[in-house]
Amino acid sequence: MSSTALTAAAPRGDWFREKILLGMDLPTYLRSLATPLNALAAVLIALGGTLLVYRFAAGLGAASNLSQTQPWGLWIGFDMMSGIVLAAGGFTIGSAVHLFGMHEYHPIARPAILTAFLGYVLAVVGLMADLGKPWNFYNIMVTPGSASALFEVAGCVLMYTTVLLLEFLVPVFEWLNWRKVHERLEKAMLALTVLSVVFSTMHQSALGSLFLIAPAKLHPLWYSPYIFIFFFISAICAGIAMVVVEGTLTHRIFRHRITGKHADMDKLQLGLGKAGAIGLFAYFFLKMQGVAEGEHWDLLLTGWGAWFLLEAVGFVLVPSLLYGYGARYKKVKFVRIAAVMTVIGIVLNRLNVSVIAYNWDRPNHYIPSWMEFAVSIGLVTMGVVAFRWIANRMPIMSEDPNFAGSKF
Amino acid sequence: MENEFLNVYAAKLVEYGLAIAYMAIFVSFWRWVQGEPAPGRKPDAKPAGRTS
Repeated sequence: MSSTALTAAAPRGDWFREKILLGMDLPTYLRSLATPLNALAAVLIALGGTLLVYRFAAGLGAASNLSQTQPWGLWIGFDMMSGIVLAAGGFTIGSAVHLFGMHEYHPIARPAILTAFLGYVLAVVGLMADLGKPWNFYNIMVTPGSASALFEVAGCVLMYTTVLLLEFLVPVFEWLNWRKVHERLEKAMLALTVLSVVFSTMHQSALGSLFLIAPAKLHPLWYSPYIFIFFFISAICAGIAMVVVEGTLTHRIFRHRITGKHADMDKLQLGLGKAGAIGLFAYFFLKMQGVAEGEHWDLLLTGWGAWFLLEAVGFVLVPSLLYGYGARYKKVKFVRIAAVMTVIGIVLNRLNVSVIAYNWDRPNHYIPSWMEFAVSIGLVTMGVVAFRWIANRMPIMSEDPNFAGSKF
Repeated sequence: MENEFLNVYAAKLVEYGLAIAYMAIFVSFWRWVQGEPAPGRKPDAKPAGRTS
């Protein structure tokens, strides 16, 4: 990668070569793409894309195991519910840095916002695959159903994705060296950060509110009238965990893209570890309150109870203690392990609520088809490839020196 | 159910008890997470090696 891509505006004739081909000529660039991992990614994306086309051509019934009794499956449980919750790092870090003045976390704000933006875009693609008639989506804008949790989710996701796009445009304009529009966007960034907190708070909790109308379908250990609070608190924990996981990976992979002083990633992650410990500790007790409120202690002794305890103790309480231990004794490895466990635990929670423990007492329980898995894997791969493409070109890991002084 | 009226209060008792227990444990947990380990009790202390 040529350093001129970051440090100076390239001459007009070389723009494509510098900005898109990373300073190489086309044959060299194409040869550089021929790696085993790229080949695997291409196969996964091609398979997922083909099956997505097949789903729209042949219908939901042909491509999935969804039915009238189980209308929500892997695409909602994983792509939508898990994709959205794991993208919570954008508003968590954005608000910490720009609203609460924790400027030491600024170096990880841009990767967090990019992850969030890609997460939301792919969640929306997954949602489109799941909707019976996705072309009718515009109805949420012309016929508002203000008493519906689903309307709140749809509206807020739509608006928050727009906010994330605008936040992501800051490094895009730096990359393009568009100073005037960059300055104008910077003036709006504080308002955009406030909006991102408002929309995220609303729709992260509203995703849980969707299940308030299904107390008979969701297993009592996961159903609670407080479920929207559980979803919101766990979203904050997931956001912190994802920033730690993603920061660990990207700081190693994109080290060459960091200009100027490197952030002390260990110190930042130890600070995030403290927040993660406190957040998960609160979340664990809230989940216990859910059991107490429903008087379901006896259900903990069943097979479903063991599964619930695995999630609540193994992937909430244990990572909370690991975060705390790591933060107290300055052992960042424990914080990273706790973050991975938190990510797994919260994805497991969303899958439990929307797929595994949903319609739990039906004789023929839903199991996703191989095509549903392939589409989801293809979408995740697409997200990873898009992140790499953008981070290799745009000032994501650090600010463009030509725009020094940019607060966002 | 024998006496539903009393059961509601039993459930509430557990809820409030859990909340009070949580707050009590949370204070200790917060101090533990925020605090520094005692200088002599750092688990990652390495044995002294050669200095020259």
